[in-house]
Amino acid sequence: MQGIIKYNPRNKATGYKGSSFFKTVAFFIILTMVPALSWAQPTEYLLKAGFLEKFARFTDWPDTGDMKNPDSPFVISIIGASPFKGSLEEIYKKAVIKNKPVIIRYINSKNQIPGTHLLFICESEKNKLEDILQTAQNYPVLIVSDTEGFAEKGTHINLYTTKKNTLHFEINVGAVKKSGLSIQLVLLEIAKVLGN
Amino acid sequence: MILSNIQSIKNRIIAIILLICVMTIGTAITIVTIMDISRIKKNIADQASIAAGLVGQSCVSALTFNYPDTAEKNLKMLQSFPGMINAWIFDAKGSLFATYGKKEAIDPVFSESPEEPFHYKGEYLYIGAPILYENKSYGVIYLKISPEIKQEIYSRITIATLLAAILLFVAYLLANFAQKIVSDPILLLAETAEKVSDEADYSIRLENKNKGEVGILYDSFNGMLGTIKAREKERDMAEKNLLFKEQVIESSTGAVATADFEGVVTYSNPAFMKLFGYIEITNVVGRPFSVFLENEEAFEFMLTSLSRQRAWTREINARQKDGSLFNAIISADTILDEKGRADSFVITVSDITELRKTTREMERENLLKTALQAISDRLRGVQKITGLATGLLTGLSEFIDFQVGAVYILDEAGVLSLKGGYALLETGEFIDEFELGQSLVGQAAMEKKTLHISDIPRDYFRISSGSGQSSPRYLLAVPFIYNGDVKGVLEIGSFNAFRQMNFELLDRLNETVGIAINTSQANEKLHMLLEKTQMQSEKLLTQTEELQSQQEELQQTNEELEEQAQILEEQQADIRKKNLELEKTGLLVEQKARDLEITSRYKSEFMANMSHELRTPLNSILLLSDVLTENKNGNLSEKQIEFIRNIHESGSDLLVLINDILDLSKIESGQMELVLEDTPVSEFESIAQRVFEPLAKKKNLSFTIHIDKTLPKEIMTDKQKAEQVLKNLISNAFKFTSQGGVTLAIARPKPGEKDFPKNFDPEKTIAFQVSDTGIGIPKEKFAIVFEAFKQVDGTTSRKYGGTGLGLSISREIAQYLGGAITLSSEPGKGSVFTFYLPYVLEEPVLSKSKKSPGIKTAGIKGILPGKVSIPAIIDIDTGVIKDDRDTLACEDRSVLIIEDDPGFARILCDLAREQDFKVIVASDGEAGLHFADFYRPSAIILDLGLPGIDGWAVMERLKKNLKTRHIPIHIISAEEIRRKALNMGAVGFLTKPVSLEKLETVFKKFTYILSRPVRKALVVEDDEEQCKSIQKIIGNGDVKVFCTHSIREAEDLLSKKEFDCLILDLNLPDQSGVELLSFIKQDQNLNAIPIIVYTGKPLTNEEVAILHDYARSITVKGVDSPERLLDETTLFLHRVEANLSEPNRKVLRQIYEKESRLKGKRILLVDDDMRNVFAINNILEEKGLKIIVCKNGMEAVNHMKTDSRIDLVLMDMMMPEMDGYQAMQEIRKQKKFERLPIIALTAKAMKGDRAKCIEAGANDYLSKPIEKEKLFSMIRVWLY
Repeated sequence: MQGIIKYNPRNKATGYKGSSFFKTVAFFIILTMVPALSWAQPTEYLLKAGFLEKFARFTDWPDTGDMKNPDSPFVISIIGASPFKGSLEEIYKKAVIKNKPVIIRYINSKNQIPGTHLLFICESEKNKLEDILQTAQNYPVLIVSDTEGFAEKGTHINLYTTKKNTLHFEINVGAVKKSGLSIQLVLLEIAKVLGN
Repeated sequence: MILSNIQSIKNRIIAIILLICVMTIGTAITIVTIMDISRIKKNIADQASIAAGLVGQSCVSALTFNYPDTAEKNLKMLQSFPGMINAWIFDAKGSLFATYGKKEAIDPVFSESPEEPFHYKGEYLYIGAPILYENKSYGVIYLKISPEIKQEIYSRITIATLLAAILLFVAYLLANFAQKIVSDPILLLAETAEKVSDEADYSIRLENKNKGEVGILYDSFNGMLGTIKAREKERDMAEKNLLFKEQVIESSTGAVATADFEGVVTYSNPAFMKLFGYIEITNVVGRPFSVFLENEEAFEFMLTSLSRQRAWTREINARQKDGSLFNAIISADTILDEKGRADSFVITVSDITELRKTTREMERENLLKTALQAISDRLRGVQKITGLATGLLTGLSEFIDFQVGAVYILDEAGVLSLKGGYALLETGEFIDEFELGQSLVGQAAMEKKTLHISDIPRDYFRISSGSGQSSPRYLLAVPFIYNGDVKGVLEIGSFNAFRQMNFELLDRLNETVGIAINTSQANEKLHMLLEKTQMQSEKLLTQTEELQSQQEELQQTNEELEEQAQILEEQQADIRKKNLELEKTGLLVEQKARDLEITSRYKSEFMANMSHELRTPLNSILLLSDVLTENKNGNLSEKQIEFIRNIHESGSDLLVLINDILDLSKIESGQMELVLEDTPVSEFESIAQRVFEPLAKKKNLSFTIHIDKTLPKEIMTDKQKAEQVLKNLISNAFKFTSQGGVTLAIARPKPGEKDFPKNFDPEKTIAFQVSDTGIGIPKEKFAIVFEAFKQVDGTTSRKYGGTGLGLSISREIAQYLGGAITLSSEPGKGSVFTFYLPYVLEEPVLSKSKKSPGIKTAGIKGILPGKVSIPAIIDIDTGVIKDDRDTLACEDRSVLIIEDDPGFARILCDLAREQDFKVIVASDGEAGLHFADFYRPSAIILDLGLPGIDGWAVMERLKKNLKTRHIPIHIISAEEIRRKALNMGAVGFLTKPVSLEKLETVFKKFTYILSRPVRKALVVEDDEEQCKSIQKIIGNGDVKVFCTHSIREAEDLLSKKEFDCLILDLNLPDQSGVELLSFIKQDQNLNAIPIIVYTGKPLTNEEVAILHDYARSITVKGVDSPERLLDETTLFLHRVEANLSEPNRKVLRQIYEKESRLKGKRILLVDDDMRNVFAINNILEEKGLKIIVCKNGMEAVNHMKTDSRIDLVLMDMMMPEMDGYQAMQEIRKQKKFERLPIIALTAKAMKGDRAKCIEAGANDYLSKPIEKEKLFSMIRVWLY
């Protein structure tokens, strides 16, 4: 048993590396971004952006050379009108997902999907969803969306906001399986699971 | 210490054990319980940690995604954990994320002891666990639990206590039990010690079963007790001892008293009291010792002495109470105190009055004993009675006071006689002898009692000495008794009375003296006996001496005997020597006998040579005269022919004479052969009749023959010789009878006949009586008549002819045959010769009987012109095999059996007869050949194993002989030579042993062959012309020829018809001649057919080779000319030559005559006799043979070396330089002459000559004189 992490209510610097600093920075960024972004939106999409990383964290890609190689980047592609508006870059500028540096891509067509590890389908792509999904499903791509109904259609994880205004997400387990990825239990535990 | 309070060892031990148990158990249980409790706590803490971990884990996602509600929801899971109070989750930054339970701030406890994962403080359990997921910390979870462990703890403690209690109890029990081990012995010891001391019983012992210290303790205890006991015992003993000593003194019969140093009696024992006659102790104790002594002086003396010396003893008179003194020995000892000062005295008083008395008695006793001893000594060793007596008296006199004495001894007669005296006067005062009862002496003896007379009257008797005399007053007669018998009496007299002691002494002496007397008497007896023994031993000695002298005599005789034995031995040696000499002479005699044998052999040889020498010129004479009588050139006149006939006759007569002489010599040298056979008696009659009838007629004499019908039909004897004898007798009879006649009576001999020879059984003898009415023989000449060359009258030969040999020979022969010839005659009245023959000649007199070889050589009996008479085979075992030669007729089917084994021949005969064949039997090849030629049998059975000429040779010659070659021959042999037999033309071949069946088939075959007059020949020839010519050659009435042109036809025909012969041309168009051969070879039915291969021209080498191959399995011959074809076919078809067509016959004859033409053949004639040579030369040259002559063997051999063109050799055997045998051997040595025919010419007529010739290398032999015909036939035979 490891030693109890020293609890020191005064010490906020322990635990997550640079988390307090990060929080301060984030606070200021949010402050500066207040005028640019709507109140709810910057916070929301920031959260969602953060969530992406979390999703990725708790997802297992097939063990290819690509995944193992720490130099090859973890590619997050946003297809459609990205609501993130730079929050992704900020968050993932120096972040590491699966020990790999993160690259954010904004793509328009499904053809650009290969090579992506995590694909975020914006609401704008509603009509093209199936198409995109068809393509994406052939690749080991974690498909995330935040539009209602997308999960039923076939995205892997769909973010949504609860009545209490908390950000939740639903996971289409079948779709995940199809793509060859596996989502860890930890994630599944708190998500709304859709069978499919 | 409590422990020390506990006195009992038992309890101590228990206490100790319990204490230890308590300590250990308590400690153990406590520790265990504590450990258990802490474990429980830890368990709970672990569980809580796990729960914390799990819950924390479940909140990872909540922490990640910042869902505190989820986290709290998860935390709610903790409620199931017993005793959960609070839980806090802090995120990674350290801020509170979620809680569970009462909304409280986190206990500060968590920060106090952060190192521990769990922490029990007070009532609560505090758990903290990091929330990690994939090595990433998401936060921390803290739990506060109120563990419900109190219950547990209490229960645990209760159990522990209970357990402890139980264990302690158990421990107590065990301890209780165990302590016994230790304490029991000790307790026992304690108990025992108590007991011992209580009871003061030191004999108690502890049984020590313990080892170790307790054991030692026990042992020591025991030891101690033992020591105590011992000590006690010692003490007791000492006490007892003391007591005993006290008692001893008290009870002692010795008077003991103690007195103080002043002599005042302090103690006295009862004995003392008694001795001194006191009763009251007070009268003794306290009184001075002087009271008990004689006087004061004595007492003073005692004291003084005692003060000077410790111990004092004295013989003193002691005083009793009543004042009387007595003899006593008083001894006193000083008792010292511990300081060594005289304390008191111990006084012992002994009354010695008794002692005194005893001493006196002892002295007396001693004296007696001394006296006894002295006298005994004196008596000892005395052997003589008188000495004894006197000794006794003398001895006694030393001890007994007497002045006169005498000893009488009772002898065996019962008379007491005086043997010894003491101071006796020889005045006859003492009488010498008494009987028992007589006088005092006798009386004493009788009464066996000592008689004591005192106060003897004055003049009873006197004791005298030199100076005077007086009469004794006292007399004693003492008898000496031994073993109840009186031995003697002693009489002594004395002036003074005898004292008691004297009586005692005499009493004592009695036995001794008795013994002594007895001994003495015994001794005297012994002496006597000894003397007797001595005498006897002297006698013995003399006897021994006599014996010795006798022994010496014996020895002498022994020596003489030895000498004689020696002589005998010498004689034996002489005899042995003589024996040896005899042996030597015997050997010499043997040698002489051998020499004699040799001489006789020489003689025989000489005779043979002589005969040869005589015969050879005779040969010429006869031969040439014979030739001349033929008168070939026809230029001789009758008279000349007459002369020649005369010459021939003389020659013949001479020959007869020579034969007779030879006979005689043979008989004399014992070489006459006997051929025994069952001869019918009638035969004698018939022969006699036949031979002498004509003579009788001529001489105009009567010749009558009588045969006794009761005679047996046959007798066993040599027919020839018996006949010879008979003929001789009859011819003599005729010779010497000019008128009247001759009678032959064959009858049983009359027993008792005066001339009947002894040793003959008339029942088993036959008598041939030849009586004539001739000139008779005077008695004196009887003997001469039988002698060789003697005749009755020297002129007889002139008048009557003859050589005079006949009778002697006849007699010898008669003897040979086991018979005899007797003669009775009177001059002028004729003679009767009786020839006796036994029915059965059991043991031929001289020579051994053998099976005759079947054919006799022509030498013995002389030549009969024409055919040689051949006797039938005689077999002694099986009897005569009568063949049918005499009864053959032309049309008869006959079979010639050429077989030397008579048994088998017999069987064949029987079989043949069964099959309707007449039989002719020949037992060797020559005979067979002759028979075949002479009798012309229809078939021949030929055995190959023949003596003499080889079977194959016979076969060959039979086939070569035109006259016999058609005769079917069946060969029987022991060897398997089928092919050869068939190739040579035999119709069949059987291997011995043969079964009757097979033999039957032989005859069947013969029958078949003979019954088929027509033979079938198959010709396979493609050339029509050739076929026709063959047909012409061989076709005839008796052979049918079939022509075929191809193999197919041939095979066809062969399968349909039976053929006797196949003629095959190998060069057939389809080259299948050989095929046909192989076809035939394989076909069982066909492979017996003889095949003749005829190609019209000589066979090529190839063809020859082919034929050769096939010839092994089928009969095939190659011929290369029509003539030869005819020949072979004739052979194979068994055609009788006579049945051939005339031209064919001519052809054949030509073939054979060509072959058998003698012309131009070169014959080597080896003979030393020129006349012979001349004769033979002429005969042979006539026929066109070329003769080369050699005079002897050496020449012949030399000639042969140079000239090898000889076709045949005629070798005379008897030649100088090198005889025929050697020459033959020499010639044969050369390989090229191995097969050269050599015919031996020998005059030798001895048996074995023939064999010898052949052995030496001759192919055949002729005996001299030689028959012309025979010579030619033999030459012809051997040339081809």
